[in-house]
Amino acid sequence: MSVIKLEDVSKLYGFGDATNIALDEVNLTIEEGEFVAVMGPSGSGKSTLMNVIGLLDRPSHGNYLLNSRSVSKLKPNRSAKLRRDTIGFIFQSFNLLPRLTALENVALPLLYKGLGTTRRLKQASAMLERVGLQEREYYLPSQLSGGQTQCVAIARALVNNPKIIIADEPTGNLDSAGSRLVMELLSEIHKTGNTILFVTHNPELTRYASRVVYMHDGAIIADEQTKIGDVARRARQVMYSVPTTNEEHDLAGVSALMAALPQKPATRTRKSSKKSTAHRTRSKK
Amino acid sequence: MSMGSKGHFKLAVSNLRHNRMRSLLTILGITIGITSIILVIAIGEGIKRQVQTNNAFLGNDIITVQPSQSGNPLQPSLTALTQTDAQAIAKLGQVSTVVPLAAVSGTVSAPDSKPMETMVIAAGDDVGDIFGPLVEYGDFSGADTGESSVAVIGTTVAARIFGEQVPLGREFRLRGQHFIVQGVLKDVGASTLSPAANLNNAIIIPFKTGQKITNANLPVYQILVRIKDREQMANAVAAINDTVLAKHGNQADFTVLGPGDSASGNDKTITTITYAIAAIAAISLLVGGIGVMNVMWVSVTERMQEIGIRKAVGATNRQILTQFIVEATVVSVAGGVAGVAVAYAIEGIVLLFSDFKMPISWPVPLIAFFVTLVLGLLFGTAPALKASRKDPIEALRNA
Ligand SMILES: Nc1ncnc2c1ncn2[C@@H]1O[C@H](COP(=O)(O)OP(=O)(O)OP(=O)(O)O)[C@@H](O)[C@H]1O
Ligand SMILES: [Mg+2]
Repeated sequence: MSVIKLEDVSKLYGFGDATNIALDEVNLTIEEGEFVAVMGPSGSGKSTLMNVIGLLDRPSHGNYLLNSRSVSKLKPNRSAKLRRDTIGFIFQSFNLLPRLTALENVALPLLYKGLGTTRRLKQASAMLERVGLQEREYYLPSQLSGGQTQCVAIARALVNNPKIIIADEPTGNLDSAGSRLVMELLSEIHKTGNTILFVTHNPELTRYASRVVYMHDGAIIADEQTKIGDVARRARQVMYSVPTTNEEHDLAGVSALMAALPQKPATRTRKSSKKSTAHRTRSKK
Repeated sequence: MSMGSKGHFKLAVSNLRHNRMRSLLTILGITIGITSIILVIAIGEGIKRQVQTNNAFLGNDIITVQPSQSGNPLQPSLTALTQTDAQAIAKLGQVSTVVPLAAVSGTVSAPDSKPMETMVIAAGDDVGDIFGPLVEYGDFSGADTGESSVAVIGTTVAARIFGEQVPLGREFRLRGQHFIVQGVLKDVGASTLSPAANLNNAIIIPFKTGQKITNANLPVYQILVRIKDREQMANAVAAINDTVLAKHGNQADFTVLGPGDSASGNDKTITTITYAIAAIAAISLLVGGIGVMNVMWVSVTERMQEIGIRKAVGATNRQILTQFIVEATVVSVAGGVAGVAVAYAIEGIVLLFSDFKMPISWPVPLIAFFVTLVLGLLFGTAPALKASRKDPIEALRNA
């Protein structure tokens, strides 16, 4: 049984001449226990895909089956509850509440589940211990390093025991040590049976994944199973001999990746003729 | 399935404390509104109690006749009664004593004391029959001998003019007339005949002397009537009313009150004015409420990221809605509680420096609580709805 199944999912922004196709009839099936890396140039729709899968956003067209249940047309309150119980979301910019301590931040999802203070803090504390930050419970996010902050965010994502973890560039704001810390942690979580999707610009990090999905212009242009521990084949093509997380090299890497990847076919079969007239814009980033 | 009300309350308090100055100023807006409404009503109530010519303390067989104001309530025609009214009442069979009271102005001067303004009441000859029980030293004996007249003085005046000693037999001058103190009244507390006639501050002189020194037909502000049979009270009130009405050419510009009756005409007018002013004060409360709304709008806009994060970790629209409404309501109710406290404090301070009582009745705190609760709900809802309906992704992007 697939955990996630996207059927011709599209996401459009704007309308008329300014229509912006962030996701273009994406089909994607993810099985339980997969560790999926999503790669692609800026503006290719990776975040949009994560938001749709994470129930933070809903598709304009198409169907999304989460645990075999259609969730593309859920009411906001229903999807909030489903999100709370089945999905843990990790952001590039951490998104912790700055005035709450690490412990309180981790306990936040439990607050909305209606747990009492004692149970909340106990579970949160256990989760912080799991990410190795039990000594930092009473630190504010501003008093933690980037890597530690992201670990707190991961603890928050885990506290409800969600089956799915979605991480949109979890290492995007971290140095190599921080990245390693975070990826090792995700790896461990994966070993306990969670399904994990993460977005990255760093080909090196595909080592952690069991599958790599490449996106371009809102579409999935390549999808590759890899052995955990190895850099994905396509990603490797664009790597320099000395792997680095230096930003300039990353950018260069992305351009190289673009060149190495097969280009998106110019015309594809469409289900709706209306959509084909939609003007396509590309992100300028 | 939702977080407890205690959790919401704690969250609201912690958010309000974070923006301490802003929260305090918003609370102040509500406080001013609530305080002014409470004080306006209390002052109105206080005035009503003072004006209420409740002469029950004089005895339960005393009827009071006083001018009423049929025209402009702000300018009561205090001159509507005359001595002839008093004489006419005296002819009635049910009546045993009639004492007209008139106000005389003037400066009192005594040897060894600075001249001072005080309130002087010229009272009919039989005043001793009614005010007798109020006398502590001396009595209402003696009369105007031409060269010299007599006076009974209130305890406050006595102390101010003559100091500590009981001033029986002491002398003073008023409008050139020489007076000898015949009696001193007891401390009658804050109970008053009318706003201007606190007996503690009064000097009571014979009516004839009053007329003599003012060279005028003294305007009577009150006629006190003792009746023979208190069982016949209603009857007597009606008879007096008819008599004075006839004297006044059927113009009902006066009120006849039994013991314990209140000047209902005054009452109604004061109540009307009080609530009119209270309604104006309510506008300041409304402004305070709009202040709450304004601050909540700003807060929602500023805290978009927080809203996005909370939603991303599973907060439902309803939980976000509740969070912001509770916050608005806490501000509003805090303002209400402070408003009640300030009103009580002002009442206390006024009572400390004067004997003007502003009774704040017991349901006031309760009403203020509910009013501010409703106000918070009313003005908090729109911003809270905006917050709750925000799409999580959009909210996160806004940061
Ligand atoms: N709210 C929005 N309104 C209009 N267009 C949007 C909106 N959000 C995203 N887009 C567009 O959708 C496309 C995909 O954006 P998305 O954020 O998914 O890209 P991404 O692959 O995550 O890029 P990056 O690597 O820079 O994070 C872009 O062209 C972007 O401009
Ligand atoms: Mg992105």
